[in-house]
Amino acid sequence: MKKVIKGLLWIFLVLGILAGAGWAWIKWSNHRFEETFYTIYSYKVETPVRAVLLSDLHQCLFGADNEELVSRIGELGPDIILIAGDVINKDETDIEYALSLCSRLAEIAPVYYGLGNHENEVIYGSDLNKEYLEARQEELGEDQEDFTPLIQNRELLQGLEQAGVCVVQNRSVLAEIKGSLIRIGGISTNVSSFWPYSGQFVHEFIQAEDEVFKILISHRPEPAAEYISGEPVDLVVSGHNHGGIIRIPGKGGVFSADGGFFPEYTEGMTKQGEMTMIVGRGLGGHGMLPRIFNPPELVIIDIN
Amino acid sequence: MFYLIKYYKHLMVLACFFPVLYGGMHILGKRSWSSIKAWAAGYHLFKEKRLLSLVILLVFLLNCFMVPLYEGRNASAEISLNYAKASQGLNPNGTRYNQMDILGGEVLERAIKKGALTGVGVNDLKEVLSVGPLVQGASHSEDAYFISTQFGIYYNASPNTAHLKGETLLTLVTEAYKEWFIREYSENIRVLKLDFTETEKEDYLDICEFLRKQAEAIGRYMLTLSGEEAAFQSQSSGETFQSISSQAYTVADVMVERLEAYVLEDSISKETSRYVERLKIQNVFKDFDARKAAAASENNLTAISMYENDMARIVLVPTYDTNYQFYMSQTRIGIDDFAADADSFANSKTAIHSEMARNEHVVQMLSGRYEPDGINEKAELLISQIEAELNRLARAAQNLVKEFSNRQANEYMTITVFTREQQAASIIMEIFAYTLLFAVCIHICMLGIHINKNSRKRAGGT
Repeated sequence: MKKVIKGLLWIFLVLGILAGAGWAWIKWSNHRFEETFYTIYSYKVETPVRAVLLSDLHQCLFGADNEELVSRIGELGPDIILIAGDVINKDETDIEYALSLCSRLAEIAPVYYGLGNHENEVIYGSDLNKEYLEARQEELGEDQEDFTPLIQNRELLQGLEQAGVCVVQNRSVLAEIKGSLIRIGGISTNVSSFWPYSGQFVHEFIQAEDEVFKILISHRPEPAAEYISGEPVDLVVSGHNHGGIIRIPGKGGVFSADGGFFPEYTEGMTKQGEMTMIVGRGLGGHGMLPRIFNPPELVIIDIN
Repeated sequence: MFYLIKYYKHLMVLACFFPVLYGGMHILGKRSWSSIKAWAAGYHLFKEKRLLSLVILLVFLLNCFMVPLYEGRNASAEISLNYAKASQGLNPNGTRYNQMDILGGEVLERAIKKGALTGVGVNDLKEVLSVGPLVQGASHSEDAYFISTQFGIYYNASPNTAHLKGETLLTLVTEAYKEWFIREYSENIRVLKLDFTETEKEDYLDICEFLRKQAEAIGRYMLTLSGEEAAFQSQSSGETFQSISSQAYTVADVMVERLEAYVLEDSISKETSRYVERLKIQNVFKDFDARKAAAASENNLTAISMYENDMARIVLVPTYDTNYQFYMSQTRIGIDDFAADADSFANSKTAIHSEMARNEHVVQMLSGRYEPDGINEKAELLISQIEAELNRLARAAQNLVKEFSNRQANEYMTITVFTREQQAASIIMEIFAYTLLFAVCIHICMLGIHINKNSRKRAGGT
């Protein structure tokens, strides 16, 4: 009996050491971000433009009040900053976190904020899925792509506006960056609600202005890959899948909320016809599962 | 810490070597094989087994931490050149390709700036980066000749660059090189940037000449690019090099011609006397040139007539063609040069006479004019129409060239940076291999200790 207890204690000790080392490693690796550089070439920009893409922060901190993140972005000298949603969490929401980060980013470069499903939950009370939007047909009225009548909480949107951040939700803005005209649009619908709740806007966005460089911020990569693959959108930036949360070498990401197991779009740059899509692994996480072999990622895109 | 990581694998091997040496000496010290076997059989009763497992586990964890760090300080990338001239060892413009440009100062400076890398300079990067062809040919036989179009870039960290991630650094360097390469070898669109500000001061006929040259320059440039890929078409405007070229020549042949005809027929000038005087002086100098050309032509003809009978008419040189077939090649000789020069000077004289005749005609037209000097509204209108059309064409041509260059640039080279995720399988193998090596060695050591202890016990017993 004594021998068995002693053996069990050894096993627990070994498992304890393994678990402790694993936990320390996960903690360490999830609080330092990596930088991934992409370069895309387009005749539509006069001088090189640098964009920094942040996604899926989920209220995660890099240094006190995100000081490390903000100062590094400042060092990288972006001309525009793109946010592909999920900066905050739908539960234990800290709007001040988003406002503090965005106001400091806006001092570095113009910030364009595409909403994610977590922001949608905070602003509209639900993610913009088909069932929810169909149930709100009457409130939406004629224009099914204008979600303003559904807003329940204006705090985030007002705060972002005051911080000088441009929120793009089913709309686009034309910006002049270093002498080049760039149109930046955003959607946050998913594959099921893309039609008819974002499709018309995206169709017009694609058709307009051949000579202008177009960037679409789509929190989820799947709607863009499904509906506008190959269309003349110069750049689509996305996040949402957190790089598949756990990454298996040679296999890629393991899981995403929308894509199930081994989702197709977890990270990297893909070219589909005239459309280039960059999916960021994101900087944070939400839920029980920690990021494993999947360091947070800051994406830097040089458009030459 | 840098050197600990750098020499970690060596330390691991050393950590395995001494225990195995110690254990091995004790085992081999016992000459009798049967006694070694007996002690080995009794080894499972060895009391420190669990402690040993714990040590091996700790070494495994240490390997899990250190081996990826070691591998992270080495990285590699591959550049494949995809354009046709690369296989001849040439750049897209026909100059000699140099792989060392990949690690050129300008490229590395650009990479540092691009990545906002702190604490490193160009020289630091030069020390840790190397480049070489992936497939190396040889010169001992013709079959072994090979010009590589694939180049490997290797990163091996130094204390100064230890804080950089190899993968990111190689991404920055290869992308900076691609940008540099495209800038160096993509089409130059300076000829398409038109500036008409100087024409305001010129007289009308000079403006005609300037506008014609501008239109012809666009036409010629577009024709040259059409030679590279005639079928290339703009996705946005549908224009081709050929279509823009013909529009440019139409401007020169129709619009500028119409302006010139109007200026001449109506004898329009901003300052007649000055312009006429200039043409007259021009004709004096042109007359000298024409006489010089005529004399040179005459000299050459005289030389031919004097030496024709004494000089060989044809010289045949024995040679081989590309299929190694023997043939007699006719080569150029002195008399051919005389004839060619005579022809060239005669043509030159004719061209100068033609210019002089035109100048005389203009002088004649302007001398008999009744219109007052100054700005002519109709001429100004025609000029502004031509300028607008040339500006439109130049813009269309610029967009087309940019689109063409953009597509070409993307095809110039393919860059592959090998990520740690791609190397993961080998890293995991290494972790297990080093742990296994350590486990085997430490067991041999313990077996030696066990044998030694037992021998002492026996010696004590007897």
